[in-house]
Amino acid sequence: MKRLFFTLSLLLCVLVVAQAQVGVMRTSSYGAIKKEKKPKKERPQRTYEWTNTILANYALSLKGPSHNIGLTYARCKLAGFYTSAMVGTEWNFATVEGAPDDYFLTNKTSHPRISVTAGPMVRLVIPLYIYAGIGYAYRPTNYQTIDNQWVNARYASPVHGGNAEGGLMGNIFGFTLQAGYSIIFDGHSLLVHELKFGVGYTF
Amino acid sequence: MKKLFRTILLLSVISLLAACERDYQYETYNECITIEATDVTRTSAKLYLYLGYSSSGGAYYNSKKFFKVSDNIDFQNAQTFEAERAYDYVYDSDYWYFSYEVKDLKPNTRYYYYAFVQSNNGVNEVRGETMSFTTKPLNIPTGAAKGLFSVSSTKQVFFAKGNLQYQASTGTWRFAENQYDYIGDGNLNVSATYSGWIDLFGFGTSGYNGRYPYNTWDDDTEPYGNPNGDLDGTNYDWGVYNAISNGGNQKGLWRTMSKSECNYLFTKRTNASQLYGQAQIAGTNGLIILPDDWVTPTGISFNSGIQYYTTNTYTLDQWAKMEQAGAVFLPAAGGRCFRFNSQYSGYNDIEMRDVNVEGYYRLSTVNWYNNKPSMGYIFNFMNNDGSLGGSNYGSMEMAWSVRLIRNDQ
Repeated sequence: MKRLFFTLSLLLCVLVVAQAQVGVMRTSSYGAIKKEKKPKKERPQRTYEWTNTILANYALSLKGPSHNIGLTYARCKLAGFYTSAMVGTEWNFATVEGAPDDYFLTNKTSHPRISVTAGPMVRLVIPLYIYAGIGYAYRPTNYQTIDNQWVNARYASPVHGGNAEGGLMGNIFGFTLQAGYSIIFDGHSLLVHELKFGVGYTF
Repeated sequence: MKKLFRTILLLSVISLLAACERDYQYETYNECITIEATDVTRTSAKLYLYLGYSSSGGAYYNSKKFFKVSDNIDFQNAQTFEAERAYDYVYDSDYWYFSYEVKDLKPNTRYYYYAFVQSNNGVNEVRGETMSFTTKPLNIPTGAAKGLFSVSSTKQVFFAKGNLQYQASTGTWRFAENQYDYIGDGNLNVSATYSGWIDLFGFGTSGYNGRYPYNTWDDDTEPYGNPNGDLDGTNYDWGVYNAISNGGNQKGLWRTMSKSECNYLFTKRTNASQLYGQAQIAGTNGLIILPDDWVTPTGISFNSGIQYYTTNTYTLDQWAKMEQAGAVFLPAAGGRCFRFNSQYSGYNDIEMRDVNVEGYYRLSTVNWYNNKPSMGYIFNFMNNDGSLGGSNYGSMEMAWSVRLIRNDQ
């Protein structure tokens, strides 16, 4: 069921971005008709110029769940690259040894996460880009004990592991929007799925 | 189009929320409930605790449950007991009741206790409410010494406050006024009409069925003991058949200790070897037996074991403190035996032996020989013997001391 919801969520996000891009294209066509009535000075084509994009990100880790923020920088012409760094919003590191079974817990959890990813991106259609990348992530799951200490649950989720992601970026109303999917893994623990959103500016 | 767009956005948010999954929820103890004690006796009580909500069974194995018990609300010098699953409580399907039966409590004392559960590594602790119970008072029967003595794993008894005595002229039974009292040579005056007191008796001479307490060795036809076996529960037992004038004055209140009970008393009860020892009280030699819950009075010392009577020497005042704390003293009253006369190739008289030298105390158990009861078991002690001669047996005709016991109700 969770997987179904996740898949549906991902598809809908893609649809939202795609819908936005369609809106942009139609707006451009409508603008072209209006241009017959009031001709504008033709803007120079930037299609094959390098563009730089900076986005502020929010990512929702579906397991936890936990919230994350970060920054993405992208440089692209027809193709290019991007890099992104994310941090969590919960910063309680493990303060005691052992496993959660050794303690009495409040079941409140904390995920002090950092991650760095990078990868290529390609322009699909103006102004929609697709990107995919890999990197490193640190995201332990720590449980609060009844005396306000924190203990790490080593096998509840990955602690150190890889981070793979992909998604779409597109320009609308002068802003750049981003929607993507990210996954943290370490090979033997449960995967952590994330949905990533961004808003920024392209120049 | 805008409506479609908003619908898609709304569905996206709902889908996102639905796709979220909480981290694994471990068992949490948000309550450890102390439950009212049950089965409260003079010396024991059963304590229960209940663990509040828990989401899985894992921590049942990973935590420890305890009771802290003290006779003061500040829990100074408190004892800690680990609880076990309470299979007998409420219903079987509930796994979260735990209990412990606390023992060796003081009678008529208010005890405070609380339950607590501790994490596997002992770091975290959840404590329950402090509760209390009061042990039942100790009702000392008339004619009994104060202490309680275990004679089996489930039974405690009182000892009579003195050796059994009999006055033939009036048919009166009584306990000696003091624990260290014995008649000694006066026993040689034994007869069916003797107006003095005797305190040495042949086996089973309760007066029932021709077994008279004044029976002596001088007539081979004099019967002794129960022809069917032990004295236990029969009228051949002095305490069963007779009313003891200063011991409640009713039949059936007292009885004679059996061989197995004697063995348990001296060898099997908790700290058994530390709870008896030879002593001398104001010149009277004997054996001191201490109660299960013995606490040596302030200013008094006691050395356990069988060595010399003078190992423990007490004045009457010191003994009074010991007695007040529950100690029992059995005087070395000796025995009334036959006098062997070689001129007639047999015994023809009685004599006293080992007065204030050796103690012989009758038990209710007989030794069988050729398929019939032949001798009565006793336990005896003497100076410089090195051991307690418990559970020996001897002739039924020999007259030895009797110290009756009474079951704790």
